[in-house]
Amino acid sequence: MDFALLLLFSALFGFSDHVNDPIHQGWKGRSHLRDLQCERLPQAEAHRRHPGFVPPTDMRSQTQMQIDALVCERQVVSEGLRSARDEAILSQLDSEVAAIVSQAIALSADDTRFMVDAFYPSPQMAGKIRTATLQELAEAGRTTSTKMPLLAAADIEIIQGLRVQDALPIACARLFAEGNLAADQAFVGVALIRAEETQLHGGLCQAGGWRWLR
Amino acid sequence: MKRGVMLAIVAVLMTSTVLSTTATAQQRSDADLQRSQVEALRLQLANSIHLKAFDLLDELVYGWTKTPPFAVDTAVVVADVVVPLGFGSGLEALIENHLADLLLKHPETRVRLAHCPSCAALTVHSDSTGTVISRGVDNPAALGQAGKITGAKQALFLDFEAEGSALVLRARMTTLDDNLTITMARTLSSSTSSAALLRSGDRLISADEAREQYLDALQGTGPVAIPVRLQLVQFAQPTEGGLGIPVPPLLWIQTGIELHLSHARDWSANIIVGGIWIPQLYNGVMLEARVNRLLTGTAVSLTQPNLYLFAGGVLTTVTGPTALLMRDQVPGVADLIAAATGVAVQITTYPALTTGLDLRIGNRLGMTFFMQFTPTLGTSPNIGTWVNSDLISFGNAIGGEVSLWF
Repeated sequence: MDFALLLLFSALFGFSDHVNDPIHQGWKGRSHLRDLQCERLPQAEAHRRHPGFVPPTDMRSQTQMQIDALVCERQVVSEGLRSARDEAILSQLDSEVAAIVSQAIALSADDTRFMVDAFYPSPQMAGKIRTATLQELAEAGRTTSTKMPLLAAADIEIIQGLRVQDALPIACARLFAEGNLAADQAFVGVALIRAEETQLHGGLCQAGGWRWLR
Repeated sequence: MKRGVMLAIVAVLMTSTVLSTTATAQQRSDADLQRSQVEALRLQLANSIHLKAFDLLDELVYGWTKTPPFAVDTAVVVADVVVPLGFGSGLEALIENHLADLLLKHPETRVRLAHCPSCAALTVHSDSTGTVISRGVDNPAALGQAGKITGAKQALFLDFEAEGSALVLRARMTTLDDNLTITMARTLSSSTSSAALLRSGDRLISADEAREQYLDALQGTGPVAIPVRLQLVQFAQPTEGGLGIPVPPLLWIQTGIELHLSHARDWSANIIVGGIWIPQLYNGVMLEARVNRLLTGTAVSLTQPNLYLFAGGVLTTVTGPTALLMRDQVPGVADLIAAATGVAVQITTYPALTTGLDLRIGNRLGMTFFMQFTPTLGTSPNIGTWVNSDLISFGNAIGGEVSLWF
């Protein structure tokens, strides 16, 4: 009997430590679990980020075993409030944009002045993608302008009927031909090419030549 | 027969009409319900997001106080504040007001806010090269020609976005000339699982300093704390119609040790000893053990009061006239005088189970309300129960405490 009570108490105290583990909160439903983003971190790093929840490392126990912490963070915007494609792109916007910008920088001279535009079905999302790209370029120390190169009305008339992947190279050539994109300037276009994908594509327009980066 | 068929057809048509109307109404009410749920969720999110957004703005302006973006005071137009996708203009207004408040309180940033309604408005500009429709801030040359830029040299763009579990602020400053060159760009990210730092706008501190303060507050009590309590226990009056003498309230001074069983302080346990000494009434000692469980959240809050539910056991020994009142009979006057003068020593020891609520503020101050169950005193004619009904009677004593932790 005493042994059973001891087991019961040890289980109770063990449960108090693990009660926040999402795997023990399955009864709250799928949407609750899907709203969590979990990552496994070393205890020291988890303590640095969440000192109120994770205790500092103990020298003695660290030498005997590696202790990890499962850090789960709730998404700011719950599932279902925004379109699934927008959510997927926004959740990895930094890395998507960084991949495009790093290639654009590698292919340009140091004194190139960058201009950026984004092409996405929703104008709000296009604004977000453009802002993130501008920011990435400026933070990389490159001269960046928020100005957008302008096409003539007749060019727009023709280009707007084309698919994005066809329109961008033509627009690039026209911008250079009309003198709206100088030789020391580069235009970075970021676009969603297929409606069903969640990856952004980027291209670089320099001296009238369009080059897909991704 | 024909009439019967006609009636049946009419009945079927009416039924289908009623059913389809009901189904449409049901769909409409489902859609309304869904919409209202989404709105409620949005409101809840906006409430938490605006604190995170303020935190990021504080961090941005703090950075400017340490490294001003300009060498001299410069007029800046807030060109655009973009909130996370799906959130409305109310959040934009809150953020813009907070930014203005911070910049006015911190002139050392050298950022002077300028008023330029035309900068955010849609403008149409025609010249020999063509007609351009854009926001004023995207075509400053046109604004300049129209004399609508009121001395501003730079435009500030703020973009907040919820990316997974983090809120990200992208801030950039752009020259208000033909080139629209970005002169400052900074991206700040906030982890949404950690509480907003809620720094005071009057005296901004860095995120690192705020974290140090947070750690200090966390470590303020450590896993072991020493509580000191003043406790008042009041026994229930004798049952109505009984001949008992009410037991006087017991006023205890207690201290002991409290141990937090987990780092989040959601579980704790304590062992307390206490004493009372009022020679004409009672002297006594007590020993108590309690287990506390946090009810408000999964981790103790440093900024809000924390409510604990506790349960435990108490062993109390009382001497003096009061000890006589805890016996199974009503004492006579001679017995009471003998006990008060020390001629006869009376000792009563009783166990009790206790449960209650403990409200703690800032790991330093606590207020408690509890109820005690004293099974061995149940037969005393001098002690009743606080909860009396036809079915059940319980709770021989209630009490309150004020605690301080060191």
